[in-house]
Amino acid sequence: MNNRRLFAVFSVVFAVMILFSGILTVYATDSDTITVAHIGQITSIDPANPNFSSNSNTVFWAVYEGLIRYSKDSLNEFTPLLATKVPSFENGLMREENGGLTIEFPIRKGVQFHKGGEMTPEDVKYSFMRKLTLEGPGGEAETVLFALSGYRSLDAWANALEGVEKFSEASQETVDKMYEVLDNAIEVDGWNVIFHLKEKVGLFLTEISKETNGTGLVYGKDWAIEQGAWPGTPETWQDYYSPKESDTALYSIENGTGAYQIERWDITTQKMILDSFHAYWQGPAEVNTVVLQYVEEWSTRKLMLEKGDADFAYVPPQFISQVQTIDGVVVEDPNPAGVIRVLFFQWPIQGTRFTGSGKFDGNGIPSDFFADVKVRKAFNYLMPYDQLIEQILDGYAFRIQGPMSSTFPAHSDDNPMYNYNKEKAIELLKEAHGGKLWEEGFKFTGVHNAGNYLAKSAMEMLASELRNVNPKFKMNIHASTWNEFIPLRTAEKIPFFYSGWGGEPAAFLTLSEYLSSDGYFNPYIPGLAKLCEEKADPVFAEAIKTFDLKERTKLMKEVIEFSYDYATHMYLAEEAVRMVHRDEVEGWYFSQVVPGINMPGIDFYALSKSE
Amino acid sequence: MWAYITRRLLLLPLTLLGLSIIVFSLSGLLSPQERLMAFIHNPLQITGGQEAINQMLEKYGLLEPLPVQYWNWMKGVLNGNLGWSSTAQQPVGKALLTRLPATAELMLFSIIPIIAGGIVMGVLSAAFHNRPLDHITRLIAISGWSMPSFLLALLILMTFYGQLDWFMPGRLGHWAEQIVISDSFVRYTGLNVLDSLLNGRPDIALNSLRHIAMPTITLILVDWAALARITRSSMIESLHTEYIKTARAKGLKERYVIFKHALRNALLPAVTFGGMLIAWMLAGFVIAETIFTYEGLGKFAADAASHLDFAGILGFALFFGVIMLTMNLVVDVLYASLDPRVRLD
Repeated sequence: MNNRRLFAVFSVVFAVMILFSGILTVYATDSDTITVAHIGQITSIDPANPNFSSNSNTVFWAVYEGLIRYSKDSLNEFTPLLATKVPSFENGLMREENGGLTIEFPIRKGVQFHKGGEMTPEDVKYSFMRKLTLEGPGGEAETVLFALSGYRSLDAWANALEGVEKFSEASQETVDKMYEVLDNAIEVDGWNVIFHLKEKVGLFLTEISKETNGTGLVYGKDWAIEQGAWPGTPETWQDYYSPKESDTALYSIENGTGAYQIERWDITTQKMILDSFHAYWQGPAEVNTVVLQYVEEWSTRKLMLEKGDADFAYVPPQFISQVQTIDGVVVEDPNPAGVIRVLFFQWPIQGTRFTGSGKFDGNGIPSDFFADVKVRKAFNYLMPYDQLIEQILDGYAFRIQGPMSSTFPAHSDDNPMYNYNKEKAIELLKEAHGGKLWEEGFKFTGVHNAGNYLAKSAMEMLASELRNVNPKFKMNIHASTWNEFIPLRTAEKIPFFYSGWGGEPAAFLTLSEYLSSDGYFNPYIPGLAKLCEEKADPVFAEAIKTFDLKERTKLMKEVIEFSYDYATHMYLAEEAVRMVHRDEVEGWYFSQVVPGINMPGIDFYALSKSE
Repeated sequence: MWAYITRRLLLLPLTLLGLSIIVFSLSGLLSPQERLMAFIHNPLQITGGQEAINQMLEKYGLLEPLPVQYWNWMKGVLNGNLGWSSTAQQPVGKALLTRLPATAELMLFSIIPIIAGGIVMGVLSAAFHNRPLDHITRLIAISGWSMPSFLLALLILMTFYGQLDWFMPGRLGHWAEQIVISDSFVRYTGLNVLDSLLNGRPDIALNSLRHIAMPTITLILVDWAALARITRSSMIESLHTEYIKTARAKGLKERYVIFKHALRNALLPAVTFGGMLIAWMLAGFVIAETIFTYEGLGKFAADAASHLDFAGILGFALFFGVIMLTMNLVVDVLYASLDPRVRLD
């Protein structure tokens, strides 16, 4: 084959390709479909599966409904959904009885399930019972279980009744007793579901109003049992308790009452298609189909958005400028992401992996380094918060006053907050540890999760400030993977570390994870836990009882003051998120109540799309 | 030869056993707590502190001695259960089988152009050594070889999807997907193009081609270059041997010398490379499948590895082990047919 012939072959192939593509270049943007290109893996859509990921929440919001929901306009109000009224002392649906509390929900009639059939109070009861009975350790329905039974876990309950360590070891007699308590605590009376609370837990309404824990989401009882879910009997309870992901019958199927139903979930391609539920009790949604497509690669998401193949796309903050100039793309104003960025002090510190010599000799720190409040305060004063927000986050972030989103009701201008103040920091560091810290200097390692640019930058800035204050102050930084970090943190070995937390509408819960003695982090920070037990736990105990959201907000402000006075943490910032979507889409609004898949939430029911 | 093949096939389970023991032993380098992280999707799962962690360790059997864990896993494998993949959110067997057709289709579309194109271009390049065709071929090969595959994939994405709108990411368009999953569409092989044609739906086949085109082009450009370079070097060496000089001295036509005498010997390194091509292509699959949102085995393996999903990693290792051992056997047999000096005893 000579060169000329080879060239001819190439030319023909190329021409065919052009012809082929020209014929096929037909593109239609479907006005009836909304496509979301996201990066959050949906892991389970069973509301009772204790291992679901937070990315399932978007789906829960679209397909399931509970009795009540937080109002999307105010985090101080609830709005009724499958119940016709929000119970309160004023309307008589909440009343103190027999030393406990009774909460009555009139159930809405005429609500249809996606797979057919009218929702009844029995379905409501079964949905609650299944969530409570499947709940393994560390479950999301802990507060509701406590309100109804007086115990925070099934293990603790079984232990109190029979002395066994685990619920799975309890005898059938014990299981029957526990079942009876729950069965009586959730009563069906005509078209009402009545909860008999053993403990006056003011958070009860908050807990059942959130999609994020699945506790109050309602699905069809008969349908669930047909699919192989828990039959609702005490004899079978232990067989279904604390299942693995693979063992929950409703892992990938649903039968809710929401505005959308799952038409298909292809776990392999990570694509979920939601169809409008035409018998929805509030009327069918305007957009008929929603496609949730996992698209990992940013360039692909960007091109999909540019070409109209995606209506919404997750855009990392550093790439926002790349989409601002694209025709037909709208970048919404910054909104608080709801994820708070916090640095933690550990005291006491176990081991010397990150603390050098383990004493004040210029090459380490002692175990009680952060036990001195002056050190914690000084560190707080040395963080250049504004510089961090301006330089690292391009100004797209909000200051936070405590472990809560800046949108929470407890956030207000009169709350105290640390600002950069080098003089105050020097003053405190000179006094800390009886002056030994200043004289000898220190060296330790702070740890952040690998790939977290914000945490890394914040630690670098702080290390630089410490060096400027006194050249003997040395802070190294270590990037850790999640697999390495958790065991080290729970072993109390990391002196100074970063962690983020996705907030949820009830500020109380987020605050308590950080500032109550048994919060998520605190069992592994004994010094902080002790402090919280003394100063914050009594306030939380009062707050948990109140049903008045405004009163609870007031109490939470007290906790924030405590956190400031004792410099319990270093609150860095809450990043801003900017929703990016095509301009054909209308009706998107920002609300902390609507959960999102690694980006602001989307209330698909409120959307419409022009041609 | 048949005795040799049978013996090799009989050794396959033993080799896989060894492979699984090695991979499983590697998991022992991590603490049970570290391995537990693969099962935690939400920090709230361990709100109960150490107690909750211990219960989860027990639940997933991570506190057992490693040999016991291996035996438990092996019992599952012998019963056809490869375990649960926490990254795929599916049983491992299902995760592999549902992704296999996508990768197989991608491989089928790319491997023939890679082998045919690579060998032909390598031969032509050697035959026209230091002439314009050789320079052009080498330039293309070096470009393909040296360009990072993710960069090449992004360029292809931006050109063919972003600018020209010829091809698109994913495996099928939404409308085509709806038809493919419907009861009226029969899945014979799982390969979209072939199944569409068998179902009399050329429109879906064309849609599928438009989706598979970009990852295919990426793989072809990356791997074709390597094979072309290997064939070229080997061919040049072959063309300078004594027996080729003899063939030319006998007055044989140049085409006969190249294709009958030189190519046969020059193909040996190319066959070796061809046998390893599937393993070689794995990196390309990861890149191509990630960038073009094409869920296949490459991306599954990468996700499982990065999330310490040991059930997924082990399942994939076994699966890939079978493929590699089979390919090695095929290569050995091909060697024997190409080189009379090689005997399969």
